[in-house]
Amino acid sequence: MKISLLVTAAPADSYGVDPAWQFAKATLRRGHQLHRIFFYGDGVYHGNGLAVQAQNESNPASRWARLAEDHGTELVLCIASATRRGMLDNDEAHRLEQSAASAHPNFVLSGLGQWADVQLTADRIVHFGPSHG
Amino acid sequence: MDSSRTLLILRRPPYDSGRNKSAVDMALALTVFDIPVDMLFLGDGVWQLLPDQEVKVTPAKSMQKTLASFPLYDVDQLYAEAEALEQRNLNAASLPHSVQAIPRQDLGEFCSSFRQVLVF
Repeated sequence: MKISLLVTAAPADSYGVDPAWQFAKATLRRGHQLHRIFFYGDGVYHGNGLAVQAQNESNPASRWARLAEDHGTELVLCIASATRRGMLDNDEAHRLEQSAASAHPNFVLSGLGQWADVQLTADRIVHFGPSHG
Repeated sequence: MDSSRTLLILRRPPYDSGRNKSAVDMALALTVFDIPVDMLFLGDGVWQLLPDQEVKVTPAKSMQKTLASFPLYDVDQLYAEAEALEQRNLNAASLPHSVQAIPRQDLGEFCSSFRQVLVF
């Protein structure tokens, strides 16, 4: 089955379990295709390539990046959400005259059209939003 | 209900975070791609339906004006949880938009009639 995820929750802290990540792994283990993950709103913090975790802890962006490399999953940060939160790739950092790129290079910044496309083509979409409130 | 539709659920009060705006931006983007959307307001989310929202304390745009533009995108009918309206002394008929109240016990069936449901 062709599955895509919408992630609007910020990543769990180093001590928490990230449900979107766990679900993504389980999806692939079951032999499904994970086509695209669209990070929207606070979800774009998953793409923070500058976060540094303590030893023996992996950071969310590296975990997603490895998944993208191993399975061809597209990692898309909503460009409007991302720029507002300082998650910039090289192009955006240059265009917006900021001093550094902060997004992990395996993530691309793009518009909501990338999500609309998923809604039209995926067999299933699953939304991971904030768990409280 | 046409089973190709997407339902967006808004359950936050207006102006407390960017989540309502995220939902609205999502709704409009989907309609641009000819994906029909409906919006359901739950709990404190129904406050967004109030008239005369004067936004002075935040840089956010008035939700009332945003919702008023929705018919331009073929989102003519909004939905709200009936109990949430009653508890707040709101009456669907007196709200500025076309709002259909749905009793809480019918919400499960209502949501299951959509192809996709996104919760904000």
